Amino acid sequence: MFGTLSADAPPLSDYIGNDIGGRIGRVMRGKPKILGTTSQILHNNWKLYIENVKDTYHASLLHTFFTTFRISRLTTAGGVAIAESGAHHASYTYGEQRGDNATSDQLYSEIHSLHEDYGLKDPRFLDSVDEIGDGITLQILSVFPNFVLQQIHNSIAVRLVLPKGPDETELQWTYIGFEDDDAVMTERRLQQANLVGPAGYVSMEDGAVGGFVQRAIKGGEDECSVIEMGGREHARKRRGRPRPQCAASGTPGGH
Amino acid sequence: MDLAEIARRLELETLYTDYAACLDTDALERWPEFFTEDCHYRVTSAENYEAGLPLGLIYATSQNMLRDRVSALRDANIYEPQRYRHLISGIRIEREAVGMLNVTANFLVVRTMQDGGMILFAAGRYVDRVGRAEGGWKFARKDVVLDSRQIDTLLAIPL
Repeated sequence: MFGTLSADAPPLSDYIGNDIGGRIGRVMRGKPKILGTTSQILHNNWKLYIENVKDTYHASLLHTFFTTFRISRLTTAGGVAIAESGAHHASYTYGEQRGDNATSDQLYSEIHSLHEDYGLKDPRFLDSVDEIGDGITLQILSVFPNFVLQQIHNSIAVRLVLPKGPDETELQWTYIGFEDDDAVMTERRLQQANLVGPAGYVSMEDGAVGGFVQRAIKGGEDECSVIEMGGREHARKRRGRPRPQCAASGTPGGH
Repeated sequence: MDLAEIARRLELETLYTDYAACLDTDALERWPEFFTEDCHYRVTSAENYEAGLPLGLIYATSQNMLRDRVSALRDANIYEPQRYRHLISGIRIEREAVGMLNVTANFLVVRTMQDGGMILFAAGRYVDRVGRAEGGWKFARKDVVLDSRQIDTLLAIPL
């Protein structure tokens, strides 16, 4: 449910826009059935969580479950859609790959140690089907300010981001299926719910990482840093000039 | 209460005491051994439980799924060092069937972080089905029913 107290607000469909609206529609294709709810207290400002949701870089660095168990790879295809207004987004990943496993392993070994012959003893919980039929296995979507819709394989959930103060946020999770799900599909969604939520194989880190950032920035309110998307070395080479200096403190940026 | 009943109660007491010690001493590799091979394990809230909603924050339908959970905690997931202290009491036999008991027990879990910060992390009850196995009892089913719907930060170590 979306609401506003402003008389000047545009109609909801205009606010969300066609592209993001369509991506909500591809997930919410039937009458939803609630499978359960939970809530997670995050010790950080609500905007840190929203930024985390929108940031596509951190997933392969922080959420190592899929790559440790070689379930997904860095060479998987995907993309990001941003609403014309710039307010909403959807990032998505396809199940199919571009590139081979060896390339992926090599790329990933520079980030995180890979275990040889490491696998799940009972991978049944990852038994997923392409229920939408477009090959997208993962879609994380946000509507400004505080709505997140998640499709990770067959696990579908709505996350509501509720500010509780400058440094506390409540994240309310509602896990759903659809009225026409059969027992097998419901069981599949319950199994895959292991991936997300406060104890989620993929998402548990998001509960802690915002708190790490919140703690770290408290001591450095006058400091600044620069993050160059694509990597510092890459940006230096491209521009052919030295890395930027922090204007306030004179310390090198990019930390 | 006859001697057999007293012995059975002591066995159940031992089961829960050992279970708590396993989780609280970071002997997680032993944790799946408390369960049968085709066990069901679920962490949920009283709200979900009472509404009959099937969701589990952790949801496993085999002992190997529990082993995978431990592997992920050891090698994949990132969380701050922390320890639990389980206080389990009020072990109650709700129902008896041949070779199986439905048992409930109350728990409190205090979580201590590496910086010394300590909170009452979880309170609730176990709704269990236990069966006699070699050398004691094992959980065929365990529903960890949390009184609160809120989880502080994250739930890494099982309850």
